[in-house]
Amino acid sequence: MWEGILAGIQGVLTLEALWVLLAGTLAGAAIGALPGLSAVSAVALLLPFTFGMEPAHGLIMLAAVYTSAQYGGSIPAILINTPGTSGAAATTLDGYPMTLKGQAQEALYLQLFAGVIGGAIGAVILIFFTPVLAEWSLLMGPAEYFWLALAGLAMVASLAGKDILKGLIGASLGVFLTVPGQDLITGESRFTFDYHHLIGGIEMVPVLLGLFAVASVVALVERGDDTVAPLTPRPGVIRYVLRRISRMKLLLSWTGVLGTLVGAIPGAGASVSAFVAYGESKRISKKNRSEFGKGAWEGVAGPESANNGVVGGSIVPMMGLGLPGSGSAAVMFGALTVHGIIPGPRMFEERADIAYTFMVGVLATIPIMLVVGLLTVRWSSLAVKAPLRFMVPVILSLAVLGTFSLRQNTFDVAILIGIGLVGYLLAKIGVPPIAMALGLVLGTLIEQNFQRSVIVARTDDMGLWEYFFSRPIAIVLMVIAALVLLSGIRQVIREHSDSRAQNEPAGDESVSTGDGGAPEVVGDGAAVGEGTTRTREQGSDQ
Amino acid sequence: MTQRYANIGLGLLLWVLSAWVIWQTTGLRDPRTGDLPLVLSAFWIFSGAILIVLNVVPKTGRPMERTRPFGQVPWRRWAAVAACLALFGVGAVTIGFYESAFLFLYAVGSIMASGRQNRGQTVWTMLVFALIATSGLYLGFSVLLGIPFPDGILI
Repeated sequence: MWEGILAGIQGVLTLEALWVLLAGTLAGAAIGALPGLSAVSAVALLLPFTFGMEPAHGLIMLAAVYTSAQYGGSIPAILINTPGTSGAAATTLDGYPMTLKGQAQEALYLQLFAGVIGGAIGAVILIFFTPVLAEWSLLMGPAEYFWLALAGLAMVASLAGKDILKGLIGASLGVFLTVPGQDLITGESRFTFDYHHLIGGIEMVPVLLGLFAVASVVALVERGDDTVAPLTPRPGVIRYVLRRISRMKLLLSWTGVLGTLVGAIPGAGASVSAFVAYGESKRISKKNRSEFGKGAWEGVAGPESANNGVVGGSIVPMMGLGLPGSGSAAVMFGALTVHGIIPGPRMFEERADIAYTFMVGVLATIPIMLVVGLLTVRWSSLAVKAPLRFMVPVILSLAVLGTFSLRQNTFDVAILIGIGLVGYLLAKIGVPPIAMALGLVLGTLIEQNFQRSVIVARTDDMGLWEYFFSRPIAIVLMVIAALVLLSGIRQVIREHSDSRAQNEPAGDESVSTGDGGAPEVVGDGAAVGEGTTRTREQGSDQ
Repeated sequence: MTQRYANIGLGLLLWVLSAWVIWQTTGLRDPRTGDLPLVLSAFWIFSGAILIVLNVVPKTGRPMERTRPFGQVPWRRWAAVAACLALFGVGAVTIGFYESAFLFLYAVGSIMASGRQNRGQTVWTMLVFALIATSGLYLGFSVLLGIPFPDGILI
């Protein structure tokens, strides 16, 4: 192993490799930041450029693109409540509220440093623990996947928005969007209405863009000719952010490791790991738990560390087992085979130099990403000062063109616009778009693995629950899902009792909010303004 | 509309959606295909009932009347932007993506700037902005990324 690592370091520390790393980092960050173009798109778009390169350099470039695209996707999540990649969805919950409070620069630096830490943790785990983690990922069967996805949904339902019931409704609506199309187990078409565009199902990206980009930006229309948010530049902002981060060492380390471990599960995805990390961040941060959803620093740091840790984790099953664990890993798998290299355990015996150069390349991207980020944060944060009359049409145009660029299919554009407008209306009445988004992302995982669990249980002559309870990891995930749901319900009951106690003595009817609590800026509804506070005299629509 | 009636409306909508989904699943050949839609329907019936009951009962429903979720929405401006967005989608397949993007950028920018005093200057500013932004989109998507778009009347 050590010879391989040394060979990898030597492979990366050449002028050509460093140029390729820089180019890949810049391109990945820029593409990842564009709504509609995800980390997978970034890797896929730049793949042809690597065909003429040496295998090691081509892989280093793709590693740099993948890593920096995950980082870039969080920039619009923070600035305009529109995640560029699905892993950045959790960052909107507290990143955007920070922007609205005039802390866009702090949020971007926080995201950068947390991403660097998480990414470094993921890369180190990838280099030293690939064989062990690869074996661990094999323990995940249909039962584990099913309960992991349900736990993820339970987390988002209870963490996003103020009302767990509406969070669950949102999640269920998102799951319903995975229903149209062909059932992958039975092969029968359902809810397609004989429309050929629906036979393959509804694409994820137009829905995600609709829920985030369109719904959020359409909400900005309410503000007329204003700017996105105030920007209060703070002297010494980098030192300030570093000082605050130094108090989050445990949080950042744990969420970075968590992101890597969840990322190592094939198919789990960055969005699941980011939300798991968000839940953990809230659990760890006892002192300012009530700040989550309103611009809590830990609410950005945790998910971002996990989001970038996922990069290393998702490459583990590809390198260790020959199974790509994510869409981006699948593209890199293709890149390796084009160069005549078959990923898997034998790669470490036959082409250890390439294997380790690739993995060290993931780690080498981190300092370059840090430098690029430090140079660009100040300029990218200025975007919030741009007048809305320019921002709104540009973002909507980017969303439409980005959606079309997926499959060159105008049906996707129709989905984008329709879901965007419906998402805006639902967000207004308290159904968080982020819950719908996660429902969509996890819906297929839930259904397929439930059906597979039924088949496996039947094959082993067991009842379904008997099968679930025979799997220790599944039991742990079941307990987590139940605890998260109970915790969300308890929170709602507590808030309801507190607000009744507050309201009863005064009985003030002129100013109040939907559920009796103080008006809150919620990450996913910040621009939408769930439960607008009004006096009775001002109820007219404009 | 108050939050109370919005919640009741959402509950009723969930019931209607459940009924429709249940009806659609009756036509499926394999019962397993309808499992997930039926589970979702059951959840919507349950959650819809909770929403309706909680908001109809005066004790829990009356506090919800103090909030108006759509109270601050400038509906005319909002509807104009939504209509432009829908027309962008239609225009993309009829007159071309970049052509309709140009018109969309100009129209929405003008709607957002409609409160500004110097209208003549605003018109020119938005025309220049739409031209520059469309050029940027073309450069980014068609030239740099090489993504093919259907031919329009000009590009």
